[in-house]
Amino acid sequence: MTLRLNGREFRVGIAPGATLLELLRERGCASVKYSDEHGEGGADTVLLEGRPVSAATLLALQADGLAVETLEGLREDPWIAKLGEIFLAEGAVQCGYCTPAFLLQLEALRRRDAAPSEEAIAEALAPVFCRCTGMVKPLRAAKVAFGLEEARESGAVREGDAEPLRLLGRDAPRVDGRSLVRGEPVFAGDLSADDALTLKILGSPHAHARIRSIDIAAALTLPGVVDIVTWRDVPRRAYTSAGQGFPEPSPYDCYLLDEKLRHVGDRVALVAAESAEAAEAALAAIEVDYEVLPHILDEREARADGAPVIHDEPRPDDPEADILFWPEDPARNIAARTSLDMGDPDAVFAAADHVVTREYRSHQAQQSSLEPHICLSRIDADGRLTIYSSTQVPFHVRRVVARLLDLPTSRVRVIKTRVGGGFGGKQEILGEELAALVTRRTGRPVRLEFTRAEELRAARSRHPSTIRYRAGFDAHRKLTALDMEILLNTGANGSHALTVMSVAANKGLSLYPAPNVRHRGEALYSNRPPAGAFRGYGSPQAFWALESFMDECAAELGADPVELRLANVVRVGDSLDVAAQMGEGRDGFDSVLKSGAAEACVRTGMKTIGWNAGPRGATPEGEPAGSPLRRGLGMSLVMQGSGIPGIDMAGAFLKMNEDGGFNLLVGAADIGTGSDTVLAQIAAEVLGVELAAVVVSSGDTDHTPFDTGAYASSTTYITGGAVKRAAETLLSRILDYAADLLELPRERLRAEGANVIAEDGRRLGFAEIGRRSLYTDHQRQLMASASHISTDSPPPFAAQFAEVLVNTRTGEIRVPRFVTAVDAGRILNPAMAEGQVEGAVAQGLGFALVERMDYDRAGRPLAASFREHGYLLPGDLPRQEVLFVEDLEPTGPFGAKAVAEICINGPAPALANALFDACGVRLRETPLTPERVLRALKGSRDFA
Amino acid sequence: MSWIKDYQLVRDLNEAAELLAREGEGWTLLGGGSHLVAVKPPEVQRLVDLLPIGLDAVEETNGELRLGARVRLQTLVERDDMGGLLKDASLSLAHSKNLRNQMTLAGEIAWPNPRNELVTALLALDARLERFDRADTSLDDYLDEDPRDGIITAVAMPGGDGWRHGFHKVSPAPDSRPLLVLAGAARVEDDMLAELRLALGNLGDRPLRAAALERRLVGATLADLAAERFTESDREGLEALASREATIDSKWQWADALLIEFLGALEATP
Repeated sequence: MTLRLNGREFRVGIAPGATLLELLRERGCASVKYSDEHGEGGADTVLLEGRPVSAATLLALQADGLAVETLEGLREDPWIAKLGEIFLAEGAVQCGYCTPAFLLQLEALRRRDAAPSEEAIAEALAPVFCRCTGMVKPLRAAKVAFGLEEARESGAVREGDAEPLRLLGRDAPRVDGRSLVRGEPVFAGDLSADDALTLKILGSPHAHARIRSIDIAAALTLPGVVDIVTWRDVPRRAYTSAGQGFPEPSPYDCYLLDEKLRHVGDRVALVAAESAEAAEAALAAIEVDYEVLPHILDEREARADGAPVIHDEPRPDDPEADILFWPEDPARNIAARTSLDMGDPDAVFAAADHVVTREYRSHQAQQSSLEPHICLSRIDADGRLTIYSSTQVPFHVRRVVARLLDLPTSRVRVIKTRVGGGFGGKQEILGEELAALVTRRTGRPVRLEFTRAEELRAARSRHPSTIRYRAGFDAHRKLTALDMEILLNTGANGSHALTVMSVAANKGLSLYPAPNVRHRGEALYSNRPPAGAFRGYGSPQAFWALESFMDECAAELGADPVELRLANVVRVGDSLDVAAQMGEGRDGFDSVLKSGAAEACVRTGMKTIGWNAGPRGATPEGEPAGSPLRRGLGMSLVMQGSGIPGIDMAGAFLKMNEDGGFNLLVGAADIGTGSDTVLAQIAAEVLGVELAAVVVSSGDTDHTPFDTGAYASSTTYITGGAVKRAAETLLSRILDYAADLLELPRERLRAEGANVIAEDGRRLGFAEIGRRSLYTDHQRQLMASASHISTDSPPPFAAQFAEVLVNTRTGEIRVPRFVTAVDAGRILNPAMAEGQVEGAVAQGLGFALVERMDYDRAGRPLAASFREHGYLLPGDLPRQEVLFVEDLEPTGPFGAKAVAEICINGPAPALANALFDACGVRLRETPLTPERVLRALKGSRDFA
Repeated sequence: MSWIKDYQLVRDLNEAAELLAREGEGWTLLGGGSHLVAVKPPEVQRLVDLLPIGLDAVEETNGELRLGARVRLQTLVERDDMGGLLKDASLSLAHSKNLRNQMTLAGEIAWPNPRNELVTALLALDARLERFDRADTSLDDYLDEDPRDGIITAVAMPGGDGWRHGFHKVSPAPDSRPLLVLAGAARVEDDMLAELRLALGNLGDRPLRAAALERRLVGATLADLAAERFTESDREGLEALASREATIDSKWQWADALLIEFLGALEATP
C-alpha cells in the first residue's frame, strides 16, 4: 500500500488484517496510542484526509493512498505548539496519554471553523475519553485557544486562599509537559526492542475449573512461537499482586500460573512469539481439558454452608511464611477479617434515645485508565533484568519480581515510564512478573500489553461491598455508639482486601467519632475477577454507606441533615481513636487531629450551591405543568488520609550542579497527578531558585531513592516531606560551603534568590558556588538526601453538593451542577489540585451512575469495552465548581495534605441524598440506575 | 499471520457479489470497519470493500430521501435530514466523531444490535432497502431475514410535507448507552394525526415497529393524545426482553414515558 503520512509517501507491505494504528506505531508514531479495540477511548485519533478517525478500528489498507496526519507531523506548527502551551498552562494535561488526540481534534476543528462555538468544541473533544481530568480543563483550554475564555492567570491566587509562598500556592506548568504535548515516546507502550517477543495470556473460559490436562505440542510447532509456559513450568510460590510495603498486608494467594482457575480470564498459559498474530494463533492451538467446578459470584453465597471453596490449595512452603499474610480462613472463603471494639456499644444501644440501622450495597467497577497495563522486560548488557513498566509502585515491582524469580534484588531494575493513568489499578504487579519470567527463560526482551477486554477480566477493580451501619444517638442528637459491619467481595484473590476493608472501617468510623464503636469485617472470595486498589481505597464504599446513612438518621431524628453532621463531626484537637487501632495490617498510631476545616467546607459549599434557596422536591422553574422532572439537592461530607501512617516512607536526593541548578531524585511515581512538578516546586521553594533550576528524575529503582509508590494519597505529604527536608539540608550545606569560600561565620550569611549574601554585602551566586565546589575550591559534591515517614495521616475533608433533576416517569437522574469544597491544607499547585478534584468527582459520578462490571450466570464478564463498562461522556458531566478551604496542616510540607483521592468519595451519596430530596425515594444500592429509581418510585406513595 | 487472509477493493457490484457467493472462503462486506475490525469475528476471513464504487450519494427526489449504502454517519449529522431524526440517532449511536467518520449506513443496518438507534430511526422513517440483484425490501422485513444477506446499495425513505419527527431515549446519563429508544414520525393535519410511524429500540431482540399502536392512534386529535400509553393490544407482536439493566416491566414503563414525550412534543410543535 501507499502510506501518505504527514506529507511523505511510503510504499509499505502490510498484512491485510493490520490496523492503521499498528502500522503507525510500527513506523514510530508514538503520539497515536492504543486505548481499546473499539476506538472509544480516542487516544488512537489520527486525521484521515483531514477528518479525525479511530486508527484502531480502521484497517491500514483502508487508508491506502489517503493522507494520514499525526501529531508528529503537526507539532512544529505554531498554532499546535501554542495549543500545547495553553493545555499546560490551563492544567488540562494530567497523564498526557490523551493529549495528542485532543490537539488533533482541535486542529481538525480549526481547519473547518476558525471561530467555533462552545458546542462545536465540546463535540470535537467528545471522542477522547480523558479519565484524569473530568474534561473540565481540556474543554476550558480549548475555549481559551479559540478566544472564548480568558486564559488562566499564571500564578493566580484566589481570594480566601492562604498567603502564597514564592512558588508554592501558585500554578506551575508540568515539568514533564513538553514531551506530553508533543506526543513524544515516553510511555511504556512507546518503547520497542527489535527482537522483543510478544507475550499473550491464555485466559480461562470458566469461572472455576481445574486443568486436567494441557497440550501445547501443536501450538509450539507454529511459526514464530518461541515459548509456552504452563503451571507445570513455574515454581509454586505464593505471592500477592498487591503492591504494598513488605510484608504486604494482603493474603498470599496468587501464583504465577496454577492448575486451578478461579475466574474467567485467569491465567491458563503464557505464549511468547515473534508477533502478536503468532502468539494469538498459538493460544488458539493450545488444547486444555478442564474440570469445571461449581462457582460463586456473590459474597453472600460465599459464606453459605457447602459453598465451593475457592482457595483449597495447600499452603506452599515459604522460608518467610511466618511473617507473611495468608488467607484468613480459606475453607470458608474468607480472605481477610477485621474487627474493632471500643467501649460498650451494646449497653449504649440499649439505652440510646434513638437507634437507626440501615444496610447499603455498592458494586464492582474498574479504574479504566486510558493506557492499559504495559511492560517490557529485557536483560541488559550486564546481565541484569530490567523492566520498563507503567506502574505506580516500581520498588514493589522490583521486590516481588526478584522474589518470584529467585533473584537478588540487586539483579533487577525497574524503570517507571510516564503512566497513562493509574487510579490504583497499577498498584498491582500484573504482568511484570510474567514478562520477566519469559525473559529469563528465553533471554529475549518480552513485551506484554493488556487489551481492553483483558483489563476488564484480568486486571483489578473496586470491591463490591455490603455495609450495615447501626447508630445510637442521645436526646441531643449526639452519636453515642456506632456499629459498622462490612462484607467485601474480593473476587478470586485477596489483593488489598484486608487494607481496603481497614480503610473503609477507619474512615467510616472516624468522621463522626462515637465513644462506643464496634466493627466486624470480612472479605470473601468469589469467582469474579479480583478486586484491588482503586482511588479512594475503601473510602468510597464506606462513605456511600455512611453519608446515605447520616441523611436517613436525620430523617428518623427529625433533624437537619447538615446540622446533624456538624454536631457530630470530628474537630481539631480530637484524638483519632479508631485510627489508633485500625492500621493497615497492623495497629495504627495514636494521633490527634491537628488541622481540619470540615465545617468551613460545608458552609462554603452550602453557600455556593444555594442550599437554602430555590425549589426542592418540586418541578424546576420553567418546566410546564405536568412535567415529570423534580429538582433536588444533596450533600455528603467525606474525609481521606495523607499516606499510610508509620508505613509509607520516601527518600529524596538532591545535588547541586555547576550552573547552580539541581537534580532532584525521588522514587515517587508521577502517574499523571503532577507530583514531579509539585516536588520540584517544594525543592525550588526551599532553595530559593526558579522551578526550571530543578530537574526531576523519578521512579527508577537503580537511580532514585526508595519510595513506597503512588498510592494512599501519599506523595505530596510523604515524599514532599522528604524533598523539603533534603532541600533544607542541602541549602544548609551550600551556606556552609559559601562560608568557607567567604571565610565568614555561617551565621553572617543568608540565601536569597539563588545567591548567598554576606552581611558585608559580598554575594556568591549559586552558579559560582556550584562551579567552584566541583572544580576549584574545597572540592565536594554539594548534595543531600533525606527520608520521611510519619505516624500522622492528616485527613483532608471535603463537602460535596449535587443538584439533580429526576425524571419521575423514567427514573433518569441528571446532574446539572456539582460543587466541592475541599480542605487539603495548603494547596501547593492550584491548577493541578483542581484537576485532581474535578477528575475524582467525574469518576465518582461515573461510579454512581453508569460504570459497572456485571457477569452472566457462568461468571463471564458482560463488559469487554469502555462503552459496555460505562463511563461519562463530556455531555454527561455537570458544571463543576471547586473551592479550596485551606487549613494549614502543621505536619505537612508547607501545610499541605493530600488531595488526590478524597473527592471520589462523595458523589454517590450526594446523588442518593439529592434523589431523596427530589422525589422522596431512597436507593441503598449503587449504581443509581433508572431501573432502580423507577422501582423505588413505584413503591412511593407520591409517584406510584 | 493475519486476522484476515485477504482484503479486496472491488470496482463493481458484480465482482463483490461473485466474491461473497464463494462458499467456504469467509468473504464479508466491510462497511466502515469500526465493528468488524474491533471485534474481529473468527468466521470473517476475507473482506470486500466497496470503497471504489462510491455508494455515498445523498439524493432527494419527489420528496424521497435516498442515501447511498456507504453514506457516513457524520454526513447524516451534518445534513440534519428528516427533522433531525437521523442526526439525533447518529449522535446517540456514536458519540465519537472519529467513529461517525467511519461508520456507514449499511454497516449499521447489517450489524445486529437490538438497541441500534439509527436502525430504530430508519424503521420509523419507513426505510426501504435497495439491494444489488434483488428486489427492494422494507427495512422491517430485512431485519426478520435469517441470514440477512445481499449487498445493500441504498436506503430510501419517503418524505413529504407536514411530518414531525422525534427521537427519545432513556439512559443512565444523557450520552450513555440508551436503555430504551423511541423514534417517531408523524404527519399532522388540522390538529389530527394523519399518519404515524413509531419504532422502539432495545425493547426486544431487534428494533421493532409499533404497528398496532400506530393504527390505533391515527385519526386521533393531538389534544386527545396526552394520556396515551401502550395498551395490551398495542404490545402484541412486540416481544420485550429483559436485560441486565432492565426488567420487561421497566421497559414498558419507559416506552410509555417516551411515547408521552413524543406525543407531547407533537402538540407543542406548531
